[in-house]
Amino acid sequence: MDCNTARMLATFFGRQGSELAPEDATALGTHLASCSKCSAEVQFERTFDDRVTQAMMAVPVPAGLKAKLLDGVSTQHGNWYRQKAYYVVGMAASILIAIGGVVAWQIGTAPELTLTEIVTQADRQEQDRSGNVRKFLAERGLGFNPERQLDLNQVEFWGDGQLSGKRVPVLNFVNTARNARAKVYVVRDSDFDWKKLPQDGSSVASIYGFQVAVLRDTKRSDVAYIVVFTGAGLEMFLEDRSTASISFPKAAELNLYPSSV
Amino acid sequence: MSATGSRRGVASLVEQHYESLYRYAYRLSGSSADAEDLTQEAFFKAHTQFAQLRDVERAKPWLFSILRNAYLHRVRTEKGHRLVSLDAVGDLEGAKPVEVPEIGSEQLQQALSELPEGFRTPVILFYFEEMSYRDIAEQMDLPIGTVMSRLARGKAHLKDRLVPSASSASGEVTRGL
Repeated sequence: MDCNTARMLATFFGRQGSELAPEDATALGTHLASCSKCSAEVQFERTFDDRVTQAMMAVPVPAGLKAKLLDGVSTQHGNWYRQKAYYVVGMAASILIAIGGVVAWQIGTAPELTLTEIVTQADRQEQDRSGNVRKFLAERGLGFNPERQLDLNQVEFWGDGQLSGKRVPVLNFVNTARNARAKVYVVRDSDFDWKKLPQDGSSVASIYGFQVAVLRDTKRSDVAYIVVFTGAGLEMFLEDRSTASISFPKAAELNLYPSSV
Repeated sequence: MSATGSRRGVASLVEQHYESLYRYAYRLSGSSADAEDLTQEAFFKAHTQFAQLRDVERAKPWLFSILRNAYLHRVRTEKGHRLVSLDAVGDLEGAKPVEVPEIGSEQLQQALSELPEGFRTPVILFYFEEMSYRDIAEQMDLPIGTVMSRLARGKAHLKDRLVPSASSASGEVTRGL
């Protein structure tokens, strides 16, 4: 190793000797052992570094600095909580104002309801009750062809209802003259395995005297009408015999399950 | 991390590192008042960014980095600070080794303050923290070769100012950039 290389290595020796590669450190040591001039320069470097380090560290730290810093951390912490609290309160207030605004807007823009409109709608429904029910069923891919001609003009309400956890079309029949009511659930094979319902005329107890009949669809084998009704019999909900084209079987021939109550 | 955890964590950092941080700030700024402000600012920022500290073992360089950024932010707006040009500062090639005198703290500070920040910081980290070149490079986000070069020239300036006869062979130092 020549003197120039040795001086360069010594200059970049660093405070941490390990930064020099082991082979360079060895070569430098060998050179310094044999070169008094370079050795003196390296000694100068190290002495200079030591003196500068000593002076560098000679900075008196103010006495109260630590307490001041710790106070600052606590104050900042308190400010953080205050800011969080303000933020949460502010957000809550904003949400309330927004909700209030939406409600006020909805009230302000809600459509008006007139008596004329209500009565007109009622008349329209009454005039073509049968047609409306058929339309409702058609929207669900269904017709209305039960093996016994239920009178759609007795339907007071129609919509989707729950039957054993499934939503199926349901028609509410009311025979006001005979004080009888019936719910007709229109079900498919895919909704329930309705064909396994008992066909032997057996019944189950009902507190309110409900009976159940299952009517098959005359056009679709997968569709049935489960009729849950009160009153003297299913006949209460059938079309007038004078207008019906079919002959009605006796009750015993139907899938009727009169209540034992 | 929760706010309480963050507060405890920063309080612990204050306990462990406030002296080093203050000294570093003083050597960077050359003023005890500025050093105090910078130290407070550094811990303030450490508190707000505490979640970013992944490794507690690296807390010290993290704090140093925060403090240096705070310092740089301040000095960007300062003008008229007298700095030396290092263009004419050579290395010690040909320098005649002499006895190294005792170096005073203020005397050192004056010489440091004359250095541009990019040269002053590696010198401070090198002596003050005994950081490796690699750590300094990481701290300053510079290539290691640049750090070594700046350190060599910074040290040459210190020798010129603190051991005047040491650079007799390297010529006059141009001042007043």
